[in-house]
Amino acid sequence: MSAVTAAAAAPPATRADGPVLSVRDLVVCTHGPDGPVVLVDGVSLDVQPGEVLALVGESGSGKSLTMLAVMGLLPAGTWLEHGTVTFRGEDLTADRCRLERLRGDRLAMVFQDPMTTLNPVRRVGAQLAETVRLHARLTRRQADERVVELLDAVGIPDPAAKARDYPHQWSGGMRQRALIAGAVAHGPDLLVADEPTTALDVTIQAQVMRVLAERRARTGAAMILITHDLGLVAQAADRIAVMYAGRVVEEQDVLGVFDAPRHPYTRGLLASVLSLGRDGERAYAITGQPPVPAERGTGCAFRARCDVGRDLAVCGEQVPTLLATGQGRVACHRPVPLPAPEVVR
Amino acid sequence: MSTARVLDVVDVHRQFTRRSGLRRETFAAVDGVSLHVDAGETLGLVGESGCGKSTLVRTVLGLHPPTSGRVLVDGADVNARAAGERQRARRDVQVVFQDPYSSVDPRATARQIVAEPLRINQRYSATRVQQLFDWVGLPWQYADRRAAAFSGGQRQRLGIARALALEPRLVVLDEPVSALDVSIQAQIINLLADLQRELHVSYLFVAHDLSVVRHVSRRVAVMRQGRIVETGATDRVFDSPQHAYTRTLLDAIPVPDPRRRVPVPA
Repeated sequence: MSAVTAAAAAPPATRADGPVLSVRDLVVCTHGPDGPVVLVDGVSLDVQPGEVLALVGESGSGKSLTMLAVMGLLPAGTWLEHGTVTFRGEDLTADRCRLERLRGDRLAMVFQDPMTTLNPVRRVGAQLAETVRLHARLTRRQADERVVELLDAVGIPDPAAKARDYPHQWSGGMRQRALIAGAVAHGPDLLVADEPTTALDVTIQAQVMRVLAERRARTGAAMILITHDLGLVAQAADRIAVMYAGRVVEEQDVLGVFDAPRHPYTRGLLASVLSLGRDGERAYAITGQPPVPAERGTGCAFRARCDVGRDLAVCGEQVPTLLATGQGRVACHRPVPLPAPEVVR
Repeated sequence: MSTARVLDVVDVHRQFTRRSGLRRETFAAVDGVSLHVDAGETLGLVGESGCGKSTLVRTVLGLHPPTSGRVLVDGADVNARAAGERQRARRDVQVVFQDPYSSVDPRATARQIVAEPLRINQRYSATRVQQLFDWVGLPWQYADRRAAAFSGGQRQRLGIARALALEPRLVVLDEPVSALDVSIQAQIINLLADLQRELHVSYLFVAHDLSVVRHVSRRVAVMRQGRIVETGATDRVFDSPQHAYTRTLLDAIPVPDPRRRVPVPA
């Protein structure tokens, strides 16, 4: 069933000048009481050089798992059942060693929680130096100098002295900067940022996003920004892929998604954003909650919460395929028509 | 017995002392805060981590006494010497925590969680528990499921039901939606608004997300370094902030509109 999805809307085959990252029909499973449970169900995505693709969805929608699968970092108990990951024309799923060599070098990741991603008993500088030396022939001293440069570039004051600190001596914002410094150390082609600012205060979030944008501009890296903050997406993304219950349900450029969302879920998500301009009135809420992976059943996973398809037979029987529309891709039997009758801002 | 003013925080200071070597350093986590919440209203309290919000909240809940100043709930001091007054004040303030995964015992059943405050105060009745389930929109069939089987949003509903069990005058909502998904956040916010309208309960809504605060509160107080730097009607504070820090805070929020992007400096 998932193969159909990929075939239906897959862009042309990868070339050297094509996408940096190309994911095809990715399926990730875990063990359930009654056999394997599908967590990521046939995800296909392309990331073009230098672009920012936002991966949006609720917790459990499979957005983080998709990217962990790409990086070869799936947690124990989950596995890649099916699918290919092509990075700059190279198939990474075939060659594990190659992936390990690229990871941290051409392909880098920034995780959500800077409290847990740094080793608390090692100095920040030493941890970064390790990253630096892993992919470059440098002496210890050269690596230390490089670390100071990197920390300076992400706006750490007095980097030479600060590099000798332990993580607990740094604030959350500084730690996240350190991780960004490490991730961009080798000028990656693709940066995966998994909720990079969720653990931070708003003013610090703004600073970290600025550092991220600035470093990216300097290195020309493409970025996959995993987030549930639509404000952040509106500010930073070129293109948006919305995930729901393990599938991509909509993909469009950022203006398309905000002006004319095609999937009822996307529309609901945008409507439930509390913006600074509105107050007092009732918040729009999507009713119900996402299905548990083992209980997704047949048909569209969003059906039970959907204003449009709740009672439609076709929505209960068939999983909608992700089909190309004029502007992007949408997986819905009854996509919101264009131009949308009520454009949600 | 009831005055219009449900919560009155009068010039509260809270200091922490730490010893480094022979010296004693005193740190003022809350440094002279006064605020009030009227009956049936919501006061938003915003500030970044480390600003003293949590210390202030604990002081309001009576979890630690202020170094100086008073916290009055319906005229009764939360830290009164007299046990009767103290207990009355504390019963009238309840709290809903940020993280429904750690604030609700996963091994307790939904019924046990909601019934606990009633049992402690010898006011248990099955109909009351059922009514609370009804109020927060949890199906009564789920009463004997363990909390572990509930989603984050449902657990937060349990937390709200538990907080409302004793008919408090004030509920302190400490980041009640920040751990929830966007689509669930809106559900909980609407629920809180409905409950307030029906029960005429007051909220002290603590959050760092200013969009949420704007949505729920009529008045707002902005806290920084242990002090309230600005307070006033929500619309006034958000539309024409007087304090530089409030402005910084507002400017830092990413606007959910791709046509109003803040350019990245080259």
